[in-house]
Amino acid sequence: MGLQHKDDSDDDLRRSKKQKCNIDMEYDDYSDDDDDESSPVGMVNDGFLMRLGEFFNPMIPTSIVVSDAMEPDFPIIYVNKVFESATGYRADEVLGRNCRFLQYRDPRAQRRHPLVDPVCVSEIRRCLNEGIDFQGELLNFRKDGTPMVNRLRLAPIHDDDGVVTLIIGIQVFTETKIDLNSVSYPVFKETCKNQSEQAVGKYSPNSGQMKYIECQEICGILQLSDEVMAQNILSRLTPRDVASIGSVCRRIRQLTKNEHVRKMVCQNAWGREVTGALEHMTNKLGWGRLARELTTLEAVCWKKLRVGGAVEPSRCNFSACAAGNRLVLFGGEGVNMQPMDDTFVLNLDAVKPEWRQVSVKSAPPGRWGHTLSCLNGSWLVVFGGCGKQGLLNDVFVLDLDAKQPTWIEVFGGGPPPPRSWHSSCTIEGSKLVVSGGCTDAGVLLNDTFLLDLTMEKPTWREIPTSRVPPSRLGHSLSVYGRTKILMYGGLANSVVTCG
Amino acid sequence: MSTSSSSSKKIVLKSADNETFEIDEIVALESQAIKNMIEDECADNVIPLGNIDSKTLSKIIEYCKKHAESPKKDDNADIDEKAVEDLKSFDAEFAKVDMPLIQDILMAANFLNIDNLIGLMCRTIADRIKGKTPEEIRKILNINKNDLLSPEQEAKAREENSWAFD
Repeated sequence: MGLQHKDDSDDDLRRSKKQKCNIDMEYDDYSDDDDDESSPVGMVNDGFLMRLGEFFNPMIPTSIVVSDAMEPDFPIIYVNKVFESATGYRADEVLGRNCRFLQYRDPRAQRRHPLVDPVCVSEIRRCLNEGIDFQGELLNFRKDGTPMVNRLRLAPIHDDDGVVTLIIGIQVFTETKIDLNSVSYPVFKETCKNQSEQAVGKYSPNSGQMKYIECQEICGILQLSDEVMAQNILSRLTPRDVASIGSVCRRIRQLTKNEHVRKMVCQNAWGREVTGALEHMTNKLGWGRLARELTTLEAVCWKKLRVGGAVEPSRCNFSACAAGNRLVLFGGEGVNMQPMDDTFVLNLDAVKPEWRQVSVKSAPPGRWGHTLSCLNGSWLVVFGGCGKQGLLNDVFVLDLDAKQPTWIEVFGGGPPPPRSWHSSCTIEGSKLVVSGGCTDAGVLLNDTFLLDLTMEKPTWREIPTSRVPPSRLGHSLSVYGRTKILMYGGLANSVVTCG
Repeated sequence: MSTSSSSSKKIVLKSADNETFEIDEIVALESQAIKNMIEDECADNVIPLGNIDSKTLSKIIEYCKKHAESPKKDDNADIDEKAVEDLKSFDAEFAKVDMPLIQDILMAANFLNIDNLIGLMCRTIADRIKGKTPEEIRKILNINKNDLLSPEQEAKAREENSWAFD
């Protein structure tokens, strides 16, 4: 059997709509008029019955064919009377044959008529191979050669083990006027529903050419099926582009409003893992809105957090960084330019977050204008700054989770010159990077140094760069893409007195 | 279902403007639709393609030739990377044509069921749409007036999607 390529309308995008259609079971009347042997409808499972009404008009006699899916080439084992009268073939002429003879214009012809859409035929084959429903239209011929359109549904019947045992074909035949001399492969794959509905008589004379000319007036890609548009074009666009293209025309707007399409776009933009988590967290907020919020970050806002405790005595020019959900603060400039050496933690995971001083066994010399960075998980590292005796270039690490937290000095060979107001960050969780800042003499720096703290005897290494950014202080260093560092802002070209 | 293709077997395609193209069967098999016709033995003479003009058809044949010659990915896991690169740069060059032709090729590839080519054309269209405003996209795709949103729909769509244009 062959049938009109089903325009991809059977895909998920539209299935939901179809299921809302009214259910009409009256077609039963047309199948029961036959002999008493087990009516094919009786073999059909309920789910199948329920969906017939959407596809077939119960007022038009329905032809039914049952094929044996366990035998090679699916021979017909049953046809009803409607089939016989609609096709002109008697049951005894067709039992044991594959139903594709309906695609032959002459009973003796051994090949499909060229006007039968090959794409549709291959689609039927695919559905049969995969054991799934097929639905569509294709050109068939009565025994006397009269062309007719076969509106066809094929449903595989599975046994308890899931093996397809029977194929039920439900057919509605209607007359058609085609010019059988125009041997041209007919239409493109059925495309958008609206357009196919507008097209007058698919098999009208020269329909192939006519339709094509008609289509050239509209934009080519609008002839594509929803599936191709969504899978091949929209899936390659960002959520922002999809929003933009959604205002372009009616058809595309309809498509971009589809939740499946929106979800796919989000998945492509942010990955399946993220979208999967979002689906749970946001309780079906809708993918359109999620796409917007994640793109614009409009819901992101600062919120004043009230926390207990306090960093006492008060200070400025301290350094702080995050270690997971804990905020850690070290040192700073107290009253009368007093360099501080205390450590505080604010645990934001706590029910009532509060600042707590960490009692450490030993502390680095007090300082300000230094940097504090987080290493793997709970380790912190302090570098440089301005102490009581002037600028520093020492390194201390602390394990926040240790039973007795202790600042340990790391003696790295070949340290950078002492400095303050520099910037630092850590890459790969273990390498400290320090850049810029200012020297005792108030000279701004533009160098970059790296200290690998995983080494047994860590050694400072200056990182040579092909282009050196201008000297600066008070800038920021951020890590992205694992090993890339972004330097931003700061103060340059100005001599300041430090310390 | 006899497709055991002797490499010398030829297939003739006829375009809408009646130009004929004789190609090796192996090249024609890049099209799933033509493959089905051949398998079903309804394509032994000339295959008329009444909806594809000769300009488009010759581009498509150019593409199919190149892809038929190239080693297939699933044939052999360790095909040399040079062949892959070569095909990639061929595809990139192939797609450097104007939008009307891209759309013609896409529609024809869709009809002929040539998956790779559908993908390539769609990718090209997507690349040309990226970062563009609705007006620009309409121009690029040559959207007909009849397909536009009504002024009310347009206003609504604009409002809903205004975030995308900030």
